[in-house]
Amino acid sequence: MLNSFALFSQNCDLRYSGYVLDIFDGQPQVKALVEFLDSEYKVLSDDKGRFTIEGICPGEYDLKISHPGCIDFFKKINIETNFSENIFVNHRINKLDEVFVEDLKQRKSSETSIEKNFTQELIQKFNSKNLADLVGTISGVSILKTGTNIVKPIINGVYGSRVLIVQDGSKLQDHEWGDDHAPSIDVNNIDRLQLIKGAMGLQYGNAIGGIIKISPIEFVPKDTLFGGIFGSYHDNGKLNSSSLRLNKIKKNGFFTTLRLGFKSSGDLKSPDYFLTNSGYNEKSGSFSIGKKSLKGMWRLGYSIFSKELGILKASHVGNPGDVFRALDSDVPTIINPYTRKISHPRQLTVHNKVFGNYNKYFKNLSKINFNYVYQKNRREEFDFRLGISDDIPSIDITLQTHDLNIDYESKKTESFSWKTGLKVMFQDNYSNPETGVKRLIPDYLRSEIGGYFLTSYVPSNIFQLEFGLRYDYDFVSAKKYYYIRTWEKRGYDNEFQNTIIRETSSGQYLTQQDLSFKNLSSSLGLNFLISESINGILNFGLISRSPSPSELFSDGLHHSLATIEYGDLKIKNETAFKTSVSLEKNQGIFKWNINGYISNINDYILIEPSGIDQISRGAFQVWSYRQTDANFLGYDFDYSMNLKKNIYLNGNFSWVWAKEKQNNLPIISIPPINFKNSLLFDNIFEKISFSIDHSYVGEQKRYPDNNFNASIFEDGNIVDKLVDISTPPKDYNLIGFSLNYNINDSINLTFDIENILNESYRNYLNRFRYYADEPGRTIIIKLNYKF
Amino acid sequence: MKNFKHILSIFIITSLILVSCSKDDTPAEVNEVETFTRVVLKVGSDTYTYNVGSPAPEIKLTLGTDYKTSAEFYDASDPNDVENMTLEVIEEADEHYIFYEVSGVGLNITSASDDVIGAESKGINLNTDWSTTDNGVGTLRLSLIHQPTNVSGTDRAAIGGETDIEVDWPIVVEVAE
Repeated sequence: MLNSFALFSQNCDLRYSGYVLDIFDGQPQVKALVEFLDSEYKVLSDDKGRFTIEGICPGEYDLKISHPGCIDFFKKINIETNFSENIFVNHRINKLDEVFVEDLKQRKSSETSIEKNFTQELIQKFNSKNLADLVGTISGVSILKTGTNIVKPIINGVYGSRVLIVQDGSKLQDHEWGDDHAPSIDVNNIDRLQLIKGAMGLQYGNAIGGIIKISPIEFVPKDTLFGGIFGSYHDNGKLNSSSLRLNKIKKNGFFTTLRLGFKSSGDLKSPDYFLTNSGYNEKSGSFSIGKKSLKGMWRLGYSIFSKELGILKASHVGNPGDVFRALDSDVPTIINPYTRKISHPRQLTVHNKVFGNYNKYFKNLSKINFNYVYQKNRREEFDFRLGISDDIPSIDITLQTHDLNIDYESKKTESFSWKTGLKVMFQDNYSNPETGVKRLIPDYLRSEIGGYFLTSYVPSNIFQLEFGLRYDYDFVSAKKYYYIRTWEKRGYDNEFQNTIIRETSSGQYLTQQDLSFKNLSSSLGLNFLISESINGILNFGLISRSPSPSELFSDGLHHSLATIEYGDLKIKNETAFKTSVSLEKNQGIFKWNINGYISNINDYILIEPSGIDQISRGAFQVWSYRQTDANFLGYDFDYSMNLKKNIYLNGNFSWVWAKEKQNNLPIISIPPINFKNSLLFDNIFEKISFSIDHSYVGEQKRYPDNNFNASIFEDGNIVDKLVDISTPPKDYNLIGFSLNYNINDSINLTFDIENILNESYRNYLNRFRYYADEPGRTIIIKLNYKF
Repeated sequence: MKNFKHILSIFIITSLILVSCSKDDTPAEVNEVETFTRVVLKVGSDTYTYNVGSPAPEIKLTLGTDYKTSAEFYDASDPNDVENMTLEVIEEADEHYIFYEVSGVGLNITSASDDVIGAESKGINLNTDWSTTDNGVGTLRLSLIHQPTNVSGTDRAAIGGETDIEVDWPIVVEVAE
């Protein structure tokens, strides 16, 4: 009982605050009831697990913390001054419950990372589109395109091997180094998605751009069957998309899941003409079984992804004169009526994956995790052939990879916890010689072994620190043919002469390339509370990566891009040092988040036009890889303003700036400024919500000059014409509208219009921008049934 | 979960074996099939041969003369096995077209009566009749075009298609002695 005499004689203005966290993994417990028994002091923890009790009279109290699914926590505390602490509660008594699962859905991979968790709703909104389109909705993420149906994510200005995609516990192994190689993932197959910007994803790999992490569904073990059937139709391209998700769970924790997806699109249309041969077909399926209990979980599964896509016919020009004529023409040089048929040039990618995962909690609440994935990716690129059947591809590469990860996490008690792990990878690349085209990438064997150590220190609710260290050893072995004239032109006759095995009758050297790379990476993250509603995050990352096989070994004509690509054996590791500062206000009417970063990338590897080569199939533009020291800086800003009840103004803005250190020159393909805003009317009559969306993309004013001349006959004279492949297109605005109608608890209908004004525009980040406009207005109708 | 651990070890051992046994063989050298390394122009009784990587020889013509001309394409990357690619071009005549452009001299080039017929029942200019109309020094460009959009086009831009091979020959038309 409170001492009423004490009430009058002392100041009752003390504060007790802190975090309620899960004893297993330190995750915040949302809406935990924190109370002093037999008093009026009680409060619920917020969505970060934070609680604050004010106006306390000094004295001794019985603290009780209760939370659905947790064992009630009791402690005697003495309040004499303001203080705060973390309380760890045991969230797993005899069942995994809804609240735990909800927490898991919102879980961040680390408290000091700058990351975004995608909601189920947003993922489903993009199931008739691509992964890059989905992650491209957040600030700082842009999309690199090769035409309309090949899209890859760019995070804070960097892409390719600098953005790691992790799915089912392992890196997606699918030739991600090629600009025209989109990730082999169907959005329909994505259950949970997180994007970590920058260096705090060291557990998964060494990627300075960030990690895109795709994880399986979390669920409650009870007898249920749930899932959904989703259908979409886009009028532009007449795209049909449908997908099925089925999850069967049993009370004992046994589960089985099935995902099927199907998409088919014909030629897209820009405001004035069809984009001939821009259609595609995509099929995907995945199946998993497993069992989950308090002690741990095992999971086995198989997935397949297959995508056939057409390459814009008008883009297939290599000869400088042809490129000049294509740029000179306002419209694409080939425009045919609409068709669903995909003809040459086209790409076909099939990705198979077998995965297995086992994790177990020990009695002391630490956890061990084993993850194995086998992936087989076959990529075929078809083109018109001379003298042999068009059905024989000009590129036919099969990449097989085995990945094994073992991770151990210590228990999370008090303020300190740690994680460590080992990764072993074997990879085999086979480039089929039956194509009749010199291999763009040689046969190679690659192995990687890596280890990491992460530690997390959470002394109070005001401050958190995470530190990580990672070491990777990478070894690649390739037997590769080089034309002697290329060998000498690239200057390999000095350093690499002893790698020659023999000379062939057709003027080539057969060489043995054995290269190894060591990468040491480190990250430091700090999260501190600046005020009641504002917190700050500081990240420092030192990430070192090996060159990819493409950067080392590319050698020859890349048919579908109609360019010659050259790698360089002399390319070494790329080392990036990135500092990010982020401030976040996540309460109140005006929420915002600003993230600024500066990166110093030594030996930054880039590919850009480097001249014209006359080879035996004609003259083509050459793109070469080279290394240079680069500086990147930029900032991303997100905001959400609650204007009135159910009316929100949301938006984001990003700006990136980059240069080569030695000569202050701009770098190719840096995203221009990007500003998106959306006026959202939510929950109208509890069934409808709609938004008006606006997006502005600026004109990139900083770009390198890679122009060249083409000699053209004009009025009986040969003249040199400038082929301007460097100047970025103008800025543009796009307006969209989106309506969502919840017919009932299970069925909802969405109606979207993109590019309502049917604006003609070209996108600097689209490699095919020289040849055609971007698509015009698109109407999208989706019907979703969830059960 | 002992069973699972056993399965996992089998996976790992199998994959190790698969990978270590697979790539001890040397990859086969690719027999490149679509290469043009040589273009031959037979102009009247003269033969002019262009090899990729070397400058094209100068074509010498006399003013006021007619020449029966034919073009041939070869893959001479292996000097012991020279392949005549002209046959492939003829087989796919619908998808090919040869276009000549001239500067600095007066030269008329038209499809000959024995030319190979391609798209729109037009000759593809493999066999042509040349007649010199003005003397001078200049350049003759031969373009082998794949999938021309319009074979009736009068300039390179109008014809469209992709340039598979483009050779610039120095040309001189001299006054007859």
